[in-house]
Amino acid sequence: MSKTIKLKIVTPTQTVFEGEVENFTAPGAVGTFQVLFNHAPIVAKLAPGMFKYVLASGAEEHYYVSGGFLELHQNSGTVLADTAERPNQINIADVERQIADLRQRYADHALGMTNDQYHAELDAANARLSVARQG
Amino acid sequence: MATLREIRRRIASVKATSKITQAMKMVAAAKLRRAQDAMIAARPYSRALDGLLKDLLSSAGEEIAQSPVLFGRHLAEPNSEKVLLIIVSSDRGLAGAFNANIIKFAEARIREHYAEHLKTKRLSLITVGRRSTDHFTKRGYDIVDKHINVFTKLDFSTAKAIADRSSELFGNADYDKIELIYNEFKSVITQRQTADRLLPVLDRNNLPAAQKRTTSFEYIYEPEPAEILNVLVPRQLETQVWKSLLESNAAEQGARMTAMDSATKNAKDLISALQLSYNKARQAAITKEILEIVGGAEALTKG
Repeated sequence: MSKTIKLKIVTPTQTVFEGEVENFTAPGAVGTFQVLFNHAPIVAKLAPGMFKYVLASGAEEHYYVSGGFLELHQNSGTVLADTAERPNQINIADVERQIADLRQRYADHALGMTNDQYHAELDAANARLSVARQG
Repeated sequence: MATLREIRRRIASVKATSKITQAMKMVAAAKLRRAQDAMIAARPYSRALDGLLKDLLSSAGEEIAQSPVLFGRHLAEPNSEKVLLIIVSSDRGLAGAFNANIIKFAEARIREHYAEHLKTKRLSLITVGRRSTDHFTKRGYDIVDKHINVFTKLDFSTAKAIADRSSELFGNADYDKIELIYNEFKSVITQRQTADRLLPVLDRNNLPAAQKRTTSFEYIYEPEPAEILNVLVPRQLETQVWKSLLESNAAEQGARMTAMDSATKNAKDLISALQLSYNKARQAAITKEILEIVGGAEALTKG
């Protein structure tokens, strides 16, 4: 019997990935965690960050997810991502510009949002950038 | 009787029209296919979300029993309920009775269920699509928000904007009930006018029975179920609005396709009828000419 986990990544507009994986690592809101075969049933909220899985062939694939949920039971997992992007779908220059713009507005005291929102947005952009650079 | 030239002109004009309706039918068919694909692509997420919501509701228990978003608000006065209707039509016409049907349906619903609300100004609308926006603006309804030209390139951000606005208004207690009214896609040729409750999420009078979990496992929740629900409910609203936009879009293309198909058929019938009277008129003209010649010849021989 193969020891793989059925994984599905879906967003509101499409199914991004569906297949068997050895293990995967998810950016939990409480902390990043890895899921191996026979993991206990779990429902977790996801933070913006890198989602990564290892295929049976040993190949590793990365995604940037902007938030969402993970539901897993009996070695069958579903990621309900708000958005999911492959590294090559992310325009590095755009994200860099976004980060520079955020920092500039912060420095100018012209954020138009709370400090918490600023940090959340900055963290998300940085996470997106680091996923993009993985590719 | 119409002259030959007049009939010829009529035939040319009907032919031109039938070419246009034929082309519109083709375009609608292509768009319909894309709209249906989008509908199918949205299904896995919404199904997974529904399942998760059910699980969370049965696990969260007491913590969420007072949540107005889930179960509705207790009103201080019995007749103070404020209602917001989101009415989804299309931007463009020439889709048969598509828009007329949804507007008629919405007005009937207001008459039957919310007549009191309307009289005491406790009813507002969010309109999606130019057709319903124009119709209800002209008739002086209170319109909180309108979304025009969203169907040319239907994007999830529209659904998000509508859902966010709805939960903001509901959260501020501006409204106690929010409904979605749209054309549901039954098949290419049939649309069904539907009214769905958007908020509160559950119907207080018809709660799903607290059923025993039949599954043999317990989830680990990270963080607490109530906290996950706080993030999940907005997603659920976005998905519900998104689904209704997709349904309405597919239904619109289906309706247009059918309407243009019958318009093309009508044009063909009209052309063959015109062709017949053209031939008759031509024949009559020829006969008349021959009679004149024969009459002339006979007059000569007699003379």
